[in-house]
Parts: sequence; structure tokens; C-alpha cells
Amino acid sequence: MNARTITSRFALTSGLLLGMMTQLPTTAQETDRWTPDRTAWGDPNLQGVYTFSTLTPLERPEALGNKATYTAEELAEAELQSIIPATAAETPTAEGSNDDNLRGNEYNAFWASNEKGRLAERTSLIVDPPNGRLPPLTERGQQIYDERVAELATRQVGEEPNIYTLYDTWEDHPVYTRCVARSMPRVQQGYNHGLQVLQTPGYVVIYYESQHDTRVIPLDGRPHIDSSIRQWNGDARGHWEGDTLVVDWQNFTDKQFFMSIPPAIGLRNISLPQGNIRLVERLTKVDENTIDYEVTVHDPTTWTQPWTLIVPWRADDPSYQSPVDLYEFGCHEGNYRMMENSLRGSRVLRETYTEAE
Amino acid sequence: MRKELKLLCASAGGLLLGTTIAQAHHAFAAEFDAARPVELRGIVTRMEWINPHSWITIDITTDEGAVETWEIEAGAPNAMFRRGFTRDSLPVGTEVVVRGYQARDGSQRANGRDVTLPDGERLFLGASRPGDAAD
Repeated sequence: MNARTITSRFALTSGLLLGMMTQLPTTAQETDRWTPDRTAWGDPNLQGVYTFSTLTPLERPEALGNKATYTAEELAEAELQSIIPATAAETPTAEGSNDDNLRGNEYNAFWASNEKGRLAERTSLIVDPPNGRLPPLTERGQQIYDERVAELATRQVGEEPNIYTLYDTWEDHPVYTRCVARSMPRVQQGYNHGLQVLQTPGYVVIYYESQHDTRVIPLDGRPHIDSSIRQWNGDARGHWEGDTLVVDWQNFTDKQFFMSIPPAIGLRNISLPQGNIRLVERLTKVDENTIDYEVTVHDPTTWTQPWTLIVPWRADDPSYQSPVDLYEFGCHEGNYRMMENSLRGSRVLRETYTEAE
Repeated sequence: MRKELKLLCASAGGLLLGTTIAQAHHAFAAEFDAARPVELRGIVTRMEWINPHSWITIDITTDEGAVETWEIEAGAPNAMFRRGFTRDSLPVGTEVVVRGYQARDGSQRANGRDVTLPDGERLFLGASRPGDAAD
């Protein structure tokens, strides 16, 4: 039996199993759920243009303990509070904005708030562990984290609050800044939160505005690629469980850092290698305009337990109403000056601080 | 609850002001100097609407009569469109006033903060956002 035969038999068996699974009776909770319409070939229809922007933090503030959701009143208040810091100092007026308020804070919440997604009803994106916070790192995870922090310190000059991180070589920039690849899963970014879901018989396609990444996810039960093959965007396999699309996602590479993305809206800059991570995504349409995007992160070499987050994908944001709202990403063309500027600027800073010593 | 929310905000603020955000700010800090604000009146010679950063090139005439070319970093096109720009806002030849912060090495580049159009309309340029070592 050659590999191809094995693959097709596996696919056939898995397909049958999956077919049976979709016939299983749904739980009471599921029957209460909003039911999505169907594609012409009978799959739940998740298609559309969405944004995953939200100001809800990844981790729940400790003061909120196990309070998992806001009441409607609390949500309105929290929404207001989340806007104030961005608008008080930085809303442009006829007289212009205040230099003093902006100085040193040029890239601040305003830019994010321009694409500000509403808060979710949940108080944090993390829903498990129940305290809404990342589980403790393993010994190895902590060691890598400490090494990263120590490495960073060797490239910093100045004193609080004016500490500058220097880029002595292009390799000091993260791979995303270098336009190589952006860490998956996409959870919180500064901007360009748009994405489009497309479906065909046997495939779900997710196109992300940022970095113009397209994930083509087969649904036919074929096995993952060999574990020796490592890819920037991993290797994903999907199937339906009732109306939920479940995707198993692995084969990532250590060259990428997991969720090493801007922390300005509450994310920690975790910067841990992604190679050992396995993700399980669950996409469920919960109302006409919302997909609950749930991701469980498995990596026993990094965290002491798996953890799960849910981000709402919303179809009702006026900025993202159709595919033409997803503008082309020309990363290199837009970035080459950044590279030159940051290398030159770092040299100026290093010289300045060396002379000062 | 109000108190609890304040706590929440204080806590979120703590996250924002923590080491992570400081680290994140430095994409700007390594490139541009917040202590060198510039105000440039010039003519648009090139407009690049490109994700993740747009660039506006302008020619300015100095007091001595010399022409200098400046490159201004601006935000992602879709972010700019949301702030009121249109594809026709900055055609070549438009006279604009740009305020921003000069490159740290003294070259004729700046991170744009806002631009004033010929009709007096002033729009935010929003080049990037903190954190954006990675953005």
C-alpha cells in the first residue's frame, strides 16, 4: 500500500467519521444557539468579511477575580472608560492637538482606537483558566522568557522612562517587522484587523488583510504533513462539529515567536518560540453578525496547562463591510524606510549614550 | 462597580505603562526624535498608499531658496481613509503643511502627525502605533 492509498483511505474513513459526528444529537446549550444558514452544498455558512479588533484585554485584570462577564451597564461604562484615554489628549481639534500630550507618546492608543473594536461582553479574551489569565510558564518556558529579556537588555540604552531599544542589525527586528511572516493566531493587532472567510466544498479559506496571508484549510480528513516539515503558518486541518468549524493547527516553526505582537491593548509580549505549539480553533457563528473565534493553545513545554481564548469576529463594523475594504498589504514597499531609519537612528542613539558615559 | 471599573482601568493602565509597552514604543523612538518636531510647507510630489505604512513625498523651499525633498511616514491607507482622507486627497502638486517628528539621524524624513490641506482641513496622519516594533 503506497502512501497515497493510505492517505485516501484515511481521508475516506475520517470523512465517514466526521459525517457521523455531525449527525450526533446536539446538547441543550447548542439547540439554544443561533443557527447559521447553509452553503449550497450544506455546510454551515461562515462566509463574510469580519474584523477581530477589540479592546478587551487578553488577560483579565486581577482585581476582577473570577468575574467573567460584564452586565450591560458595566459594559457601557467600561466602553466609555476605554475611549477616554485615547480621546482626551489626542483628538485633533481646530487648534491641533497638544504637543506636550503627544510627545513621547506618538504611537499610542489613538491609532489603535481608530480601528477600535467594541469590548466583548467577557472581561478578558482568555476564558480558561477560569481566572482569565495565562497559566504559569514551565521551567523551560520561563528560562526562554528570561533569556529573551536578558538579550533585549543588551540592546537598550537610557534610563526610565526614556529607555530605547536599539536595532544594530536587521536581524534584531522581529520577523513581522521584516515582512517575513506574522505570528498566528491573529488575536490583537494595532490595525489591519480585517479578514474574509470563503468556503468551497471541502475547504474553508481565511484571508487576513495583514500580511495578505491566506490559509486554505482542507476539510477532507487528510492527515497533517510530516512533523519534520515546519511552516511559518503551520499546517491546518478542519472538520465540522455540528455548526462549529474545528481546526487542528500545528507544524509551526521556532523561527516565529508566538503572539509576539503589540501589547498596547493588554497583550504581554510573550515572545516564546512557536514550534511546539498546537492550536485548536473553534469557529461558531453565534448571531447574524458574529463568529466566536475560540483558540485553545497546547504546548506542555511552555505552559503548565492548555489555555483558551475567545475573540469575537464582527461583520457589523462599518470599516469592514466588503472585500474591497481589505486593502492590499505592501509590506516591503511600505517598510524599507523603517529599516533604514531604525538602523541609522540606533547608531545615533548608541553614539549619544556612549559619549555620555 | 464604579470603583471596580476604575481598578480595571488602573490595572489596564498599569499594563500599558509597564515594560512591555516601553519596549513596544521603541520602533518610533529608534527611528524618530520626539524632541525634534517639524512643520513643513511643501508640494506633494509622490503619494504611496501602501499597507502597513503610507508615505508622502513633498518638496519644500527653504528660506534660502533651496529645494529639499522630505519623506513623511503616514498610517495604513484604511486607517487614513477612516480619518477622512480619500484617494483624491493628496494628488501630486497639492500644497500641504505637514507636522511631524524628524528622523533621529537628521535626515529629511519625518513621522507625520497631521497634514493641513489647501482648504484648511487638517487630518491626522497616524503613522503607526505603539507596539509597533511589530507593526
